[in-house]
Amino acid sequence: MVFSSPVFLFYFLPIIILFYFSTKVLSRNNNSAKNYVLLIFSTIFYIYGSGIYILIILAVSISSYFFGLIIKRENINPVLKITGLVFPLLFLIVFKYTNFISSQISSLAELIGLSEFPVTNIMLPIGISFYIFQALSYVIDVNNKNIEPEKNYFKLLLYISMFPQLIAGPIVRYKKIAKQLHGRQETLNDFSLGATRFVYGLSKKVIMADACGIVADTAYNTPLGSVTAPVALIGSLAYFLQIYFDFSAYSDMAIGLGRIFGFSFPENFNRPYSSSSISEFWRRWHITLSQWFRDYVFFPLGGPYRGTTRTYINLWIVFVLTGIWHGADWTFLIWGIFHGGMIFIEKLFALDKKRKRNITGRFITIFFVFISWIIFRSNSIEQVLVFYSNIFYPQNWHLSPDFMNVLTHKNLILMGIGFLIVFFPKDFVVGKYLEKVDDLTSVSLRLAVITILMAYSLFIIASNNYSPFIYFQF
Amino acid sequence: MKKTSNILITISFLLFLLLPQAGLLFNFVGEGEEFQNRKLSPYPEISAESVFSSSFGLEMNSYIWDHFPLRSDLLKIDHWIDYHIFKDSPVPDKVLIGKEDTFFIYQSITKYPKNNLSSLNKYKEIFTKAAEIHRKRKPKIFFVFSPSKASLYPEFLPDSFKKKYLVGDKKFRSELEEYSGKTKNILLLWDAFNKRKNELSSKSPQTDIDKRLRYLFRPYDQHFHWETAIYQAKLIVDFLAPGKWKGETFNKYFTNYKYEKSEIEKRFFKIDLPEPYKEFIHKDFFSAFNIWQIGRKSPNGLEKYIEFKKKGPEKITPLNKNLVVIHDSFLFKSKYFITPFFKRSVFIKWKKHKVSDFFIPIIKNADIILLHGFESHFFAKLKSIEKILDNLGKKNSHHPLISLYQ
Repeated sequence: MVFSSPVFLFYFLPIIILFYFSTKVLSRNNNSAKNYVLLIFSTIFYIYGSGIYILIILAVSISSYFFGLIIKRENINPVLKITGLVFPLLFLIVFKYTNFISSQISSLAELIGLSEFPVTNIMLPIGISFYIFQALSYVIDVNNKNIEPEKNYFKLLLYISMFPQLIAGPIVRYKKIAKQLHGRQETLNDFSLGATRFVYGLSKKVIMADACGIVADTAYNTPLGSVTAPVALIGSLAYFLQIYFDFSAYSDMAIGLGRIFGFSFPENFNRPYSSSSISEFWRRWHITLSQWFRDYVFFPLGGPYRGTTRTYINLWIVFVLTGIWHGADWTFLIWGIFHGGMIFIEKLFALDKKRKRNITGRFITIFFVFISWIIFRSNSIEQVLVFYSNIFYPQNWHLSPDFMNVLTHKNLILMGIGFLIVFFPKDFVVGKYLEKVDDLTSVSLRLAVITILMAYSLFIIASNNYSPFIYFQF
Repeated sequence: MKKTSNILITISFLLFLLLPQAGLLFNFVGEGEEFQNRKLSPYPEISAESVFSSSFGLEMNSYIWDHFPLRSDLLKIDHWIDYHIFKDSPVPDKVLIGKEDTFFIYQSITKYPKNNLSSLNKYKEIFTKAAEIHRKRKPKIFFVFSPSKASLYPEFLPDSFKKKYLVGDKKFRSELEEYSGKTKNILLLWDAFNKRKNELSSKSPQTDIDKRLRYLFRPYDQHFHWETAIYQAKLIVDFLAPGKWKGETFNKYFTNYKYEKSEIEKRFFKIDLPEPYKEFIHKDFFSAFNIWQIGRKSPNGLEKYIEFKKKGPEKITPLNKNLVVIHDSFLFKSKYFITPFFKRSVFIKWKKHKVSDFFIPIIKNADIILLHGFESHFFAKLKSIEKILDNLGKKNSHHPLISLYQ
């Protein structure tokens, strides 16, 4: 179920709000009752979009629950401990990477003349990378004695499957919301701020991201032989904007929904395109994923404490894993290596420190992020090369009718606005400004902005010009 | 102030979520398939299998998207914003807005010329086969190509489209012209229409309607004005029955021009785009020319056709021939003005570029068969035409409507 679809907006969300707050009133704010409402609706939410794959969530949550309880004990068999940690990962490997691995073995077998190796065709369950990482973080944190294991299975299940962040994050740590799972208070202020955040996210998605998305998709779906310089350049610029507006929109909506129901989810974006270095970019982009890899991969590998060479190797390992976390393809692997490489160079020459709050640093960072998104978005390495050659060695400036047709005034104006937003001064955040001030003018302004955004989003949703969120596929 | 602000935002957010449902209370249901100009998604079947395979969710999404209350009204507003605020086509994949607010059907510019070119050999094969039948035996087979708006008015295309379009289109047309010069059964209307275009453009318009009528096509549609339709009928009658045309008086069977909803508005845009339009007064026309009209449906009810018969004292002496015309929407208006010149005429409209087997015996019993098509997607009809030609060589099977021609 996509947050920007009518079924979610006009059926699922009003119904769960009605049930949730009715339960709150009728049960006199009984936390368990409210949790059960959320759990039931989260299950419906996932079954609606992914059907039988709900069983994976159940299996992962059951294993995390039991291993959480067992791991805590002293004298536990190390094999059992490792099994507890590895078990959720197996689902990720099987469902996310088997197709890629089998296709590579098949190609290799064909190359060396061996008999045909069967290529699997396993469907990727929506959001698997997110909820597996949440489950893993829970088991690891229990193992590291950072948190107490949850004794109530349904609370753990709710933590793993809560619908606002179930399919595209933010990746929430158990310790961040454990208290809220056991007792929380929803307030009018929370509801209002949550709704505001949700509307910002919705409008970012349906107005901005989808306008950029249609331009990017047309460019990247152009047959390789017909790609020209403007197609490659404009299409890639559109994708540069789309991925930010799309993914940050989902996070805004998830955080907003969480707040409506009394949860405080961590921020996932902090104006990443205003970064002055790639290192800073990763502190601002998909923050919860970066922190996950920092805490559960980088530091356990030794972090920055085992010498310079080892630090660089650790960093590279983290970015290779970050790349393949996004998808099983060579392009994602190369994208991860590219970012690892950029950070390696920055650290080697201390560029991240020299460029702090530096406008040149911002442009250099944006340039490298931009070219890295081309690797990320391309369907093959060949496409990456075709796009690069057209951007950096432009020869053909022709615009195909299909591409011209998506360069409507609306899409171009919205892309222009998108760039303005991206290039706003580093600390300028419209949403926070609107949230902070509290006089009559700003309240009226806030209400007007929200109403306009809601109305225009509604018109666009009605015309069915939507695409699913990009991060659903990861 | 903060509390007031919170209350107002909460209420407006809840209203936003409930607005479409509230529409139900006031009976604002979707306007359905006619409004959308497509088949809407049906309500999905619920079963354990469909739910667990997640197909239920996908089908339900489509159903809700198509049917949620107020959708049509919201869609109209979105299209209005696209067209009037952003000056864009609300459906850029279907309608292209050219210079001076001239509309073109997008596919007829981008996709079809390419398909025509790649089908050239097939065209020639079909024409050769038809010429063979034409020479040897009854019925006589003719082809008529109606020109597209883009090929007659390329100056109104956006520059980036013009170049691309003209290359493919000109090549196709020159090949076709070269081939039609070798045979006498293909009528290409480009030259005649271009001549007409030049005549019209030399007139000085007095009113806004006059200005619009300087063109052969309707401004917000790819089809002709009534005047152009009559002109096309004249060209066809001159081709099939030289010297017979006496249609100068047809103009009096129309109302005066007035502004009405445009075809594009009805089909795609859903916003107010009036264009000059006049009604054809069928009744007076048929009565004046002693024509008896019968609308019929095939037994499966899917295909429709219209038969016209001449009766009573002749105002225009018709050819003593049975004519069958298989046509698309570009002959829809012209057909009335062809009928007075034939004893009987049957007009069958291509349905998705095909003709049902039901019509084969009718076609076989015609004296003259006219295969008409809009130039941009004539290629799509070639397969069906080949089938018709193949059937013409076979023996008649019994058909209840054969008696029409006996």
